[in-house]
Amino acid sequence: MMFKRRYFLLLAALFFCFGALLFFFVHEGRLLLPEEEPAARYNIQVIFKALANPPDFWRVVEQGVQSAAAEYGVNCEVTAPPMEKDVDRQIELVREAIAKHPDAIILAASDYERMVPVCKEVTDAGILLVTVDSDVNYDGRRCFVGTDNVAMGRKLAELVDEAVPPEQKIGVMGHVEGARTAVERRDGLVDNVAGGMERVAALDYCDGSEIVSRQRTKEMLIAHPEICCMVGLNESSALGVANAIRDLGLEGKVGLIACDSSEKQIQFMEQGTIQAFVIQNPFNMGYLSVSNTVSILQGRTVPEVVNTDSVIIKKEDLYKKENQKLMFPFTSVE
Amino acid sequence: MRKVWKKLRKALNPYSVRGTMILSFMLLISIIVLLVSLVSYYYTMNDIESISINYTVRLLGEINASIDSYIDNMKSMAKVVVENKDVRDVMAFYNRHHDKRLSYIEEKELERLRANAAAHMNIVANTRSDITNIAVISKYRDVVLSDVEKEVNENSEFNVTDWYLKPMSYKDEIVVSPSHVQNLVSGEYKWVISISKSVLDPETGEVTGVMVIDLNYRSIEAICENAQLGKNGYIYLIDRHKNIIYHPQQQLLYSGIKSELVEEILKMRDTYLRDDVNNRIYTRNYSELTGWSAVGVVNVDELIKDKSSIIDFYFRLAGISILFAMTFAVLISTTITNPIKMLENTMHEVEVGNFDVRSEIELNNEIGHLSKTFNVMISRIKDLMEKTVRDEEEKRRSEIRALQAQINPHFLYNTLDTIIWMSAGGKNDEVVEVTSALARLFRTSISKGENLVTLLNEVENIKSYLTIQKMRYEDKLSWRVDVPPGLLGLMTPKLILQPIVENAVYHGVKMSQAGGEIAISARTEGERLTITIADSGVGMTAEQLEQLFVPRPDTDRGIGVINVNNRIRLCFGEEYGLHYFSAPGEGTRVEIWLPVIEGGDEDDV
Repeated sequence: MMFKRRYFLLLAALFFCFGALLFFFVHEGRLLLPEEEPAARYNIQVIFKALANPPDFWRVVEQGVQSAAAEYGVNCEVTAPPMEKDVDRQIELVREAIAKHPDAIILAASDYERMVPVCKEVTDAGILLVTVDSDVNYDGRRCFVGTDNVAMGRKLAELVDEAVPPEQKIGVMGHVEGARTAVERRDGLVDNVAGGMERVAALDYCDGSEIVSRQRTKEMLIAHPEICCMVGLNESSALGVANAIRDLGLEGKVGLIACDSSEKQIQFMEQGTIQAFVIQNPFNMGYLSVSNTVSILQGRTVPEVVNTDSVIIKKEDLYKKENQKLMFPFTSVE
Repeated sequence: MRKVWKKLRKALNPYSVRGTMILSFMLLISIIVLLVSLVSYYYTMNDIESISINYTVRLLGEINASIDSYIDNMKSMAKVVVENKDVRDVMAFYNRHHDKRLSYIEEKELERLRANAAAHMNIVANTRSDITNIAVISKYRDVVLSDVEKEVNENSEFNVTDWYLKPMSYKDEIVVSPSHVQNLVSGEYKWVISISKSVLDPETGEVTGVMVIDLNYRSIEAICENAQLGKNGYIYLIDRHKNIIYHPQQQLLYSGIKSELVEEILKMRDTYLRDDVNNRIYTRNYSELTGWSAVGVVNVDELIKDKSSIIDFYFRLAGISILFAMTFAVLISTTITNPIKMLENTMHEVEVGNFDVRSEIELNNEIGHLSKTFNVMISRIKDLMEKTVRDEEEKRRSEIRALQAQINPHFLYNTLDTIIWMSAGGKNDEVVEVTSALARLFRTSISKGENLVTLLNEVENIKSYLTIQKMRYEDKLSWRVDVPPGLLGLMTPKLILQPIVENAVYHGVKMSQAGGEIAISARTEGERLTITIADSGVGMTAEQLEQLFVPRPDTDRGIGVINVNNRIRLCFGEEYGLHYFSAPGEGTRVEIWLPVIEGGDEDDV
């Protein structure tokens, strides 16, 4: 029986060898299999709140979108209504996008509530919906990529308290009443600033227009001479405020805390009209919205909310290297 | 299917040499194939990897050379600008008229100088699309831009930047500043690489200002992107101070979505660095001129583009080798074991009694030798067996002849004559004696068919015979049997005494005028039983003795003696048999030599 046992040992060794050989090659082979499918070229429709120019913000978001599109090999078509407040036009644009049967639609919603029905149309058509920058009040969207706007408002409050003593009043210029970003930043500001709502002497909206903002700020500052510091809740509104302050010759008397950075805003900061920014990271927003969309399309799970950072920039550290990197999008060729 | 399985089981039967051989061969070959293919696989992989690392290093060298020559070009361009008379003049003017109110003429002069310098710079700037701006700045921060359309950013704090300060202190150096945002021009915030050089006073040689050329990334990008490092490979540039000069995904790095190895690259001593997490290989080439390192990133899996085909190749190779090996294992084992199998079959034949088969293996190896030896053995056995059969037959025949000789019709009717004659003479007692002796003679002769009988049986037989002969020859014959009772149980072949005694009667005693005596005795000497038959008859000459054992077919005489001798020798071997001692006139003494064989039962008495 000794012999029989040896025989079985031999057989076992033989099978082990074959097994090892097979395992090795299968294992090595599997390493090779492309983990991500070499992307059927996805078509993604991207709809912003406003055209890229004049607001720099959307230009940078688009850079992020195109950068990701190039990296992941997807087609991104970017459209936007001419004006930020033009909700109806955006709804039309979404419908046009649906008609093109894309794989996904990335939307920066002009209005938190009014965009809901058309968003339903998107998902009903079997198209993936991802929101960027401004969310919509609809569960069907799979992912939201944007700044934590409440945190951004808190940072604004922090800067206000640094710039002016607590007894001095402030004025707030928002972009679009009802837009999620405006509501959250305002709430973050008002809830955290010393003195709360009492502190806010005036609150107005400019419908996302720099010209309107400039006009209304002038009216506000004339009506409320007690205002010592203004807060612009986005790029256009802040630019309008800065222009108004200059128009009224109030530089140095009325401070300005702004959201986002654009070349014009930076010029205002260099001149001293704007004391500080809370900047978002529009490039990352655009990039991450596309990369997450691609992930979902490839069947992976992504968090429902992806927050991009907001950062405080003050005049004195405007040209610090790390801030340069955040504020000035790197483009090799203009 | 079942047939195949059965065959397989038979081929791999552990109780057969063949099965063990096949299995061992397969195991051995599989292990070797496994090892060899693994080793060659890794060797090939390494080879490919080092080849591509070398390739990348060479490529990076070329890229650095291109960048070096590019920067060199730009430096020469910088020299051309700072050597320009108009540029020097405008700087010298600013220097001289610092803090002075300019007269109308001086203002006109300044305007002219600025226009000339700008025009010169503009010509240089327009020669290349990668120059975004050229400017000269005086010690006292007066700026002249190449593009007269553009305005100077009054708020720019260029006086704290490297590109402005360094040439101020090192007047002969051409400074290359890494990526930064240039805000010298109003409304422009571009990422550039700046090349700056001091502007010297044509007369005093003093530093009067700084000239700066801002380069966008067009050329560097073109250089780096032209190099092909596979689908996912790329090249980036870093300087000595851990700044990234150029990266294809620079914005992703700046905004913190991605990160890139910088410190590790600057620290690395080998020609390459392996990032096992992302399965990448980094190679670096350092340029003395710029102080920049070109870093090539190669995706290992992609680098070995043909990895799958290599795996495929080795897998197939191993598979085919093993398949071949198995076939050969079966063939070789079969070739080796087939003769053994044949030999085994032949042996089986022999086992069932067929001694005529011969192994027909004609190999000049161990098995061939075995087969030959086997054949020799079988033929020997066959011979021996035939001999045994022959001997056995011979014995039977001899016994029958002995019997025939005994029941000699002459002897029988002589005896019957004697009985008739005695009963006519009224000798009833003698008649009874002879008749009972005759009966006893036949009874003892016709034993139960055994070859061996007790000595007692033989003695009884010969006593009966002699009793009958005594009746015929009366006084002429006397006899005596003197066998120790202890020897009567020993065994002898049957009917060995009677032919010899008959000889003694007819040729010894009968021939003698005076008659004679026949004495029968027996003794043992060690392992030998000797029965002696001595007669006091005429005896034999030496010639007669010699002729004794020569068969003569013409006469019956002597047949009995030869027969006895043959039978004893057939039974016990050559060292036993008959021995005659005789001389004329001295009688004859015959010794029968036999082995001592203890008998079974003595019930025959």
